[in-house]
Amino acid sequence: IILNFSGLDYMNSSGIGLIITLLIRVNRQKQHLLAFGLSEHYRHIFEITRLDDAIKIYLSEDEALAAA
Amino acid sequence: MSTSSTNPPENNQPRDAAYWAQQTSVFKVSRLPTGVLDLNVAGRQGLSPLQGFGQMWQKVFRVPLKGIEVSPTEVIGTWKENFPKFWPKGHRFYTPLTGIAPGEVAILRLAPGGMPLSTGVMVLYADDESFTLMTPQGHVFAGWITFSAYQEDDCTLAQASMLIRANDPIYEIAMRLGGHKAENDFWIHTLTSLALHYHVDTQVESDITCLDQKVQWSEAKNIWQNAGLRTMLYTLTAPLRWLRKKR
Repeated sequence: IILNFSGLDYMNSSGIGLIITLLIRVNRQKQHLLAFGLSEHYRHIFEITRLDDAIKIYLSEDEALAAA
Repeated sequence: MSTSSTNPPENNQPRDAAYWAQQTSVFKVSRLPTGVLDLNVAGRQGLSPLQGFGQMWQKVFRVPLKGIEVSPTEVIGTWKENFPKFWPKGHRFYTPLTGIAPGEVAILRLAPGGMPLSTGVMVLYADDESFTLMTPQGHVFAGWITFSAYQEDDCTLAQASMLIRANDPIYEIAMRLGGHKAENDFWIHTLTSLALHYHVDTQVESDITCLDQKVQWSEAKNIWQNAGLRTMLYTLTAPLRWLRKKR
């Protein structure tokens, strides 16, 4: 599953909670979660929350699709 | 979740820019209240539930503040100002000198099962209607706890919501042997105290779900950071430090 974060301009901490619960469900199905389109600010949030340990981040949709 | 903005972000910045911690996930302790020791906090990595060992739990505790008119913003303001006051006796939260604000680190002195445990938390996110604390390596849990308030049918509700895994095998065993009940009682007490602050005497509602029953054996190594064991070791070696000072 590839998440598109392009154009995101607001996310509070409930948002990262939702991502975690989505990740659990995805892993249960033996699938992977990928993301693209994160601005520098949201990349920082993924780093500080350690989400980037489990969700690979790509610069573009094409890159994410190629890796999927 | 809607929020009023007291710190409008600069142009081209996302609307939430001012509400997130700006630094890395490594905990930095700036100024400590007098007499408070930083043990098991500075230099530790912050954790999401993904880096924990035990089963993953989502626990939500909420209390309706019925019969009074108070906005979610006021509730969160009160909660931030009085955060330690609402905790059960025996557990200490040393509010950062600059208050509960993004990036600030608080020292905790806990006593789970009567055993002293020194650790901390970082304010990962804080806006006018919620704030989220993130735990460090060595804490009982890997994960986040969000405190929030919202309106529902003309009533303001206060909520504590956590997404957590026990950090290592010792903590996971402790949780299964009564730790979960103690944890639940802790937050029920906290929310009850918050409600009583507003002279509202009501039941706390809870919603507890195990999101992932599997433990993560790859994170068993977290045991090396166990703050409970390290605190015990620090306490036991106090005579040695005293002797060293005397020389």
